[in-house]
Amino acid sequence: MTDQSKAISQDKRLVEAIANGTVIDHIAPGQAMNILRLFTFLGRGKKNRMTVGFNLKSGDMQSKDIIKIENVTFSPSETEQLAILAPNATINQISDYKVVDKYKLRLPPEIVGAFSCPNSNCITHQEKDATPRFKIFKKDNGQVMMRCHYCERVFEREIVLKTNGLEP
Amino acid sequence: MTNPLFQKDIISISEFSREHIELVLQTARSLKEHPRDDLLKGKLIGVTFFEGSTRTRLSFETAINRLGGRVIGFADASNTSLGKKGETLADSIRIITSYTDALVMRHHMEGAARLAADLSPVPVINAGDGANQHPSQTLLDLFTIYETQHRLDEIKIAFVGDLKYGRTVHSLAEALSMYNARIYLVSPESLAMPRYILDHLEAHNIKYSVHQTIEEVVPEVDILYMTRVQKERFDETEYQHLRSKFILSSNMLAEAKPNMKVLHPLPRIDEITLDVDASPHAYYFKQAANGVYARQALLSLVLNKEI
Repeated sequence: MTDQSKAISQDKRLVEAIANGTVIDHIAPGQAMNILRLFTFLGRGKKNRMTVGFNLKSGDMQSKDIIKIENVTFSPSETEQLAILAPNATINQISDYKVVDKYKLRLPPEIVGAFSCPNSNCITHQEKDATPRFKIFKKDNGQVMMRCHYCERVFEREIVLKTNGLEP
Repeated sequence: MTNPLFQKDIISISEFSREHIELVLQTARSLKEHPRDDLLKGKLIGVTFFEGSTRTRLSFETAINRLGGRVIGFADASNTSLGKKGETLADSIRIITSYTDALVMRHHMEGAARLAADLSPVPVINAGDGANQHPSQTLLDLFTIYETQHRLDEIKIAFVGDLKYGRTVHSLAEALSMYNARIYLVSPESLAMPRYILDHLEAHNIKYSVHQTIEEVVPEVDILYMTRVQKERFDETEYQHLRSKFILSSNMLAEAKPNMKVLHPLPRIDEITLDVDASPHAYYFKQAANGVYARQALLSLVLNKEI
């Protein structure tokens, strides 16, 4: 076994070692930290045991981050929020040490309540009834754009993440 | 047949198709030529200006009164529960729209009109939400262009002045991109048209060019759309310098085509000198008067299944 395949095997064990819960795999290097911040935002990181791996060796990526969170299944809306942060990550649903569901994150058409609007004069900053809401679309060059439902401003995904304290 | 704008919210020009725009313009023309005083009979309209705007408010109130409707509302929010007691905008909207058949609303924050529309059981007409949208202004501009040029397709139009913050020019450029316009942009570099508007024009294959002086574009265009360079955005010296470059005077109109009209959303400060007013090219006061017909058309369509 080469050093690299040993390392991959070791990382794989790390993934499989969870009894029940969710493994977010193939996170772009550095993005795990943002996802942890999002967990705090979602109130998911409080009691559940988490293991985080940064810059692990990956077969199909140069390196990757990985997060295991025990006894948690993400709702569809939480999965959508994750997709904005880590568009190419994979979700592994683990039950009794086995992967029972596995899917790639996909950008949702719309995202509600996850990120505040970068426009400081947007009504969402004043009115509780105006929950921040963005339409998501991709430009021809692949750039992910987010359009505020209320103020109609269109932002690059990175601008929305930065304004929300998340480094893209 | 029910008209497609019946009971619809009018929040953003980006939601208008060509068919919608043409329906409003035809209705405006018909109401200008054949006034009606019955289309809002028995209707009560809330005209709520959380931010003051004399011309827009009086124009809406004139439109409602001329159509036989009645108005409740306020001209600024300082003396309302929202301004004085800290009531939320959402609660104010819930209450006012439970009294009225439609709501006309202006607010200084972007997205306020959309929030109102989401909460209201009756149609909401946006009379300006911060720097975002002011659809009745765009419709009155389009109506005036149609009235003076007898078409909307392939209009050659120059936008002059503050193209960065001027929502009027953003919305009009966006609407004209449905009509294959040729657009000329004349502004100080610091007040240039924002990238996202240029992206929109490019996505619709609209030809545009950037110019330094008004004289360059005057002989080319059908419409010269002037806007105010706002003093508060610059220090005094810079303002005086910029201002002098973007003032239209009558001697600059010598080369204009006979059909060319000068428009301006008003108020004008000094970017159009008074001697232009007498020129056959000046059309900005008639444009402001057209605001009443465009708003009559919108209100009539929103509140009548058929006209």
